[in-house]
Amino acid sequence: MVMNDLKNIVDNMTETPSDNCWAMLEQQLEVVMPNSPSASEGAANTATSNSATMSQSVATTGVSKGAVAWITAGAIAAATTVAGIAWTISRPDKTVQSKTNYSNTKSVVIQDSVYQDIEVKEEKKVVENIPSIQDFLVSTTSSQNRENENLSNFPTSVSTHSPQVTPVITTLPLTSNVPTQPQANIVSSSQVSQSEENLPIAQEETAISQPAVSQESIVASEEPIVSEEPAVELTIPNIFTPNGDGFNDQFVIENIEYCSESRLTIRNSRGNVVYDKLNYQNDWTADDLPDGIYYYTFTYILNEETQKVKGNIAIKRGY
Amino acid sequence: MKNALTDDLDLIKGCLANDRNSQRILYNKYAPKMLAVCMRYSTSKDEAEDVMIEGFMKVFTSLESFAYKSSLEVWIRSIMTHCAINSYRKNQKFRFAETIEEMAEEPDAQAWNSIPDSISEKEILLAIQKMPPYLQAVLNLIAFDGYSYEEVSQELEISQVTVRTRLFRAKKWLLDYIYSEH
Repeated sequence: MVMNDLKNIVDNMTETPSDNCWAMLEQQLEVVMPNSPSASEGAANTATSNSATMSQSVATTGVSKGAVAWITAGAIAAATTVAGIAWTISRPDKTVQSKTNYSNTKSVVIQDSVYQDIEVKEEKKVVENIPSIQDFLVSTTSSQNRENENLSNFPTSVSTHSPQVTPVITTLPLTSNVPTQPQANIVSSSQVSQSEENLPIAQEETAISQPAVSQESIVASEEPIVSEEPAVELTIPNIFTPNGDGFNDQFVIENIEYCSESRLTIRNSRGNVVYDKLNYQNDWTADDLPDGIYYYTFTYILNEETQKVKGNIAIKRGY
Repeated sequence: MKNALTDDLDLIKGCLANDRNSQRILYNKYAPKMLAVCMRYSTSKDEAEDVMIEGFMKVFTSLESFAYKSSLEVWIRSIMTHCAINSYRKNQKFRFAETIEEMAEEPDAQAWNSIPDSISEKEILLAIQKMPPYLQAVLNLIAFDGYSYEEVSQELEISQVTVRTRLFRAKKWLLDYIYSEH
């Protein structure tokens, strides 16, 4: 048998792992790269159901082609429907016209309500403020009653979701024969809620979050020092044997890597400097120096404290 | 080698998709061999299993970086070797406890030839496990895992002379052990 045979044997060795190895591995995998098929499936389900309900409601209302196009029109469509509502209030007798307008309103609302469900109470109040709309809706068919619910969502979807939508205000003067007071209330109330509620909250949030973040960062920066090495102590040997046998061939100061800066000076017994090194890397092998006693001075910065150690070191290469 | 690679392709795809089943199949396929690798670098089976689990974690988390330059087995094996070296470094407590010994000499070829062929895998593995860790690491890396002196000296942070010395001594130790057992 030669070394190569041994290598071949070793290469082809197998060893059956314990039964619980995979379980442990699986546990660790679950932590590092969690496998959660249920969550992703759920997300997919909600997504499909959302689109399904959207298409369903669109279908049931039987919206005209123009209305479908208006779904994509977004805020502009919303703005114009305000005009539409105002218009129907002024002429409640033209029901056909108002129907199409309401279906338009609905389609817009559906799209907005997919990602918005804000302040329903306020909107209801707003609707109550407009008795003419309320009365009109009660008198219409049941399908339009459903639309009524959606309609109540409508004002916020315009004013809060896209607060910069000025079309709401600009369209109002065009339909000047509408009771403008409640409409003005809509805009102003939403503005108030934005200015009075949102702003202070935002300010508070930033005021609170800033110190919290800084505290966290302090804790994080302290952690490595505090938890890992509560007390780092340098261990400086008093003998080493640089004879190339693999044992103590270098003058090794343990934990020297924790020093941010260091300087090692070694003198012989006559006081002459034989070695001087900034940021010593545990690599002094005392080349060309005879055996004997030497004296070191080790200055280092550890945990931002400068310290100085003196001592003697014996070099011994043989017995 | 190529067949093995194509066999592994599906597995790799599955593992990249974080499919537990693929990961389990891959584990079952390579675990015995890899455990043997880890056993060589450790003193007990428990220790070896810890290293192996750590190694497989690395395999699964960094599978994206597998460049298909070698077979999957070789790649996994190199990861295991790295983990084993890391674990050796962590466990290296006896820096100053090593006694001063005289220089070891290369055992001559005769000594190797006289190893009885009857020796079993188990016995070899056991002998390697009983070896002092600092010799074990060097012997494993150079003799069995094809590292060069230079690489070992970098990995273990010892000089090349030291690597050479330790390798000689490790071989001698192994021979002595085998002779004493037979």
